[in-house]
Amino acid sequence: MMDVRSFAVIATVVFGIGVYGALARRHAIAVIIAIELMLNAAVLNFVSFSRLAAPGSAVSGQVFAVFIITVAAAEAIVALALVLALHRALKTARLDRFNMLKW
Amino acid sequence: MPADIAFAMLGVMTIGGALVAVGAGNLYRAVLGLMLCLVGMAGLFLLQRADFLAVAQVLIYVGGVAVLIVFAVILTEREGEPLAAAVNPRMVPAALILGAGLTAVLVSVLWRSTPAESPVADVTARTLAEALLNRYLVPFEAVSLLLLAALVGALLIAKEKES
Amino acid sequence: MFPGILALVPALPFLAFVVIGLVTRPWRWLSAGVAIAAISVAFLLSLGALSFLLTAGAETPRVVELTWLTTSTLNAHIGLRLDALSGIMLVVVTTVALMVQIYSLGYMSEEPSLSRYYAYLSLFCASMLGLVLATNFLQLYVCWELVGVCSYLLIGFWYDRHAPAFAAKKAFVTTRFGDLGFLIGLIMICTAAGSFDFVEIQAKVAAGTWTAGWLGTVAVLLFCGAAGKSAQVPLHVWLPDAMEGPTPVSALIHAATMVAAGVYMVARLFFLFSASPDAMQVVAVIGGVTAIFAALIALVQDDIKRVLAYSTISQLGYMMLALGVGGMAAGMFHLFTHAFFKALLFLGAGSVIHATHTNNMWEMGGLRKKMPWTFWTFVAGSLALAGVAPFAGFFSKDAILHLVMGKNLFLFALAVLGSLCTAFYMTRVICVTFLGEARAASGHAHESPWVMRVPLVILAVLSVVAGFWHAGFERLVQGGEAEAEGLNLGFAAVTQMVPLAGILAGVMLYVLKSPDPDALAVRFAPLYTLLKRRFYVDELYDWIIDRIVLRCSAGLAWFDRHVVDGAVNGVAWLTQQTGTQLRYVQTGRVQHYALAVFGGAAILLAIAHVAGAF
Repeated sequence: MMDVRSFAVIATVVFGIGVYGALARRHAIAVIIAIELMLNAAVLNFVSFSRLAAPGSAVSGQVFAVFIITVAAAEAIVALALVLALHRALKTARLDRFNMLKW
Repeated sequence: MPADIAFAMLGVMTIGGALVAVGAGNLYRAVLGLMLCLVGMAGLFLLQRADFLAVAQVLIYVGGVAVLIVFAVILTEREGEPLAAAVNPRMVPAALILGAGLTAVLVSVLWRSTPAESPVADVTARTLAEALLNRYLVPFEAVSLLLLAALVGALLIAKEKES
Repeated sequence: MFPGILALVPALPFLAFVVIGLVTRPWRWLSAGVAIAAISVAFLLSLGALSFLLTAGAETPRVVELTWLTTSTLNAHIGLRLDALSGIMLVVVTTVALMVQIYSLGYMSEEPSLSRYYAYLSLFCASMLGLVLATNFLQLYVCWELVGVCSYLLIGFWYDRHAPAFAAKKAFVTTRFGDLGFLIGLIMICTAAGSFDFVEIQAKVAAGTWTAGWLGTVAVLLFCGAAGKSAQVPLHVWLPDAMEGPTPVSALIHAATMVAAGVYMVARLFFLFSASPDAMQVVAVIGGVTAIFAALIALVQDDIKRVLAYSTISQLGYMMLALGVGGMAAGMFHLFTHAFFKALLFLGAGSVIHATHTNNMWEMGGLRKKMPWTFWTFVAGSLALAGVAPFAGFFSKDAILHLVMGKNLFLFALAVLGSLCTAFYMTRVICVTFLGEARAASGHAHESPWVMRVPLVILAVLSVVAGFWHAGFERLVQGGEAEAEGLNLGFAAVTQMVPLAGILAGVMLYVLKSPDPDALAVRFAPLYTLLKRRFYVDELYDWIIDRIVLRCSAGLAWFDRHVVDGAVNGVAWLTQQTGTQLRYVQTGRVQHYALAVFGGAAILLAIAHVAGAF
């Protein structure tokens, strides 16, 4: 039960939940939460699959994970700043009220 | 097998937390779900002997990002806009199909694969640090630059316009 | 050294064109200097090339080539071919061009856009020299069209006036008719031979690769181009109108060089024409008819330049006639001498026009005293043109007449009659313009400046002495193998009567006034009108264009406007409508876009999964 496959299944499920949340949620912050879920699923995958790498290079997977966590933190900061700016400009953080990205 | 029990419990915790995070109508509750999920993830890291990552996960995500999100929620909270209308009903079917479909395809791919011999690698904080500061030094520094840029950019975007 | 260095001959004038166009345009006299310097060097090189040929022999052409472009089926080269024909043409072109460019310093001295003038002249020289040196059909054709363009630009040099602009257009379109045939013939022969190269095609013709009938078709098609460029009947109508251009241009392009390009082309492709007796017959008949036809029209023209223009057409007819009866050397020799004396006549006419500011001979008169240099050089040119011994035209025309007599008595009769007319109309021009009493425009006339007189004198000397090179010329062109036909003194004595009779008739009519020319015009009114209206050829063309071409064009225009444009606009409309409808897919909601992204990824993943990629 502790093999890589089990971990990967959990990661996949979390990723799928993230996809649902990112698409269906109305509130911009809720979408950000869903995106964080997807990113974390990817981190879990890196950690799990690094176990299949040749001995000695397993560290690469974890290095990747470190980078992803860092970049995800940066992404979260920027995204939240955008939400704040959006909220200030449009008086709402609901994405379905926001439809300016068109012709 | 205590490890298997731990794995099952952590799995339930992770998936459950994720479900709460996307299902809760209340954003505070959603953040709590996210935190639960992230802690579960950290446990899963621990099970695979990724101690440093587990700690970093808790510190950065649970301690940093989640709190940041809470602040954002507080700042954007408005009266007259009930958070109860959490999902867009017109998007729900498509989102459900896509989420479930992607999961199904990926799981079935995993299912078909042959389970490999997968020992738990022994990556200590020391080996990770050596890798980061030797082989991955340049990306490491680049990431620090990225963080700085994100920080400045976020400040610039979020700042009130003086007028 | 030869012929590689000859690349400079067309290259220098081209360089002058570029330099004038890009650098020296604001400084008129500097531009003129650049052009003249370039053509001078080209002239010296050409002289060197000819003397090289005379000493080293010209039996085999000397060729250098560069590959221009290569395809799987055809290799196009660009190169230089030095043989007797091109060597002689080089000297002719550069000599006349140099004289004309020096002369233009005086004639065009008040022209504000002198730089443009010299730029065009230089471009023309470059193209013409490139044409002369061409080693293959492609290069010949490209240069052929380039000289056509230069002719267009120079006829329409004063494009702000209606007549020159119209004449330029007419010249371009008319020659285009001929060039169509030229192009078709060129494509036929080059496709069949799989090569553009003169040498290769000549070898194949000599080997009897093709039947005489097919070659005849090709030759006649190619001759269409020559007829257009050399203003042969029925494509002659553009040349008289081309006189709207500056007179030095008429001397260079429309008398000495470009119009001779058609003759040169036939001579260059003589191996092809001579392989088909029928094609030769066509060339000879067209040439003979043109010779007499244009000479008759020249009898009654009032515009001094138009007389010379019709005279040019007529003389080009003689050259074609000579080529058509197999006298390549005779035809080329006439081209050689004609270039000098006709350029001289045009420059002399230009000098007169410069002094009197009119083209109408009847407004001149009595200029002999006022413009002695112009008068005497003009007389020399006229005698040469009329074919009076021992001027240059005598030798060349006599050779042609002698040849034609041996081949076709009817054409011989036409040629003799044309010769009579030639002598007559030149006498008429001299009498009306220079003799008699001064009329309206002659009052304030004075001799032209020395920059104009010097070229006149040089060309006059050439017109007098060029004929004596007769035997040497023939040896050079025939390649030494055929012995040069000497001057047949008995025949010459007889034919000499013809121009003398013409001159006598001219003097009687226009000096002694017995019979009075005006009375004759009245008496033979129908004939006079027919000639005056130039056999109604222009009217016929106008009628054809108005009644037939323009009506067909109107139908085609309707088709173009409604069907072709309709299709194009329809496609545009369809595209626009599709876009208008499709843009609603862009909802502007970021989650819809994300849905598309995830959906696309999922579908790709599913396809890969089903296909068994993992």
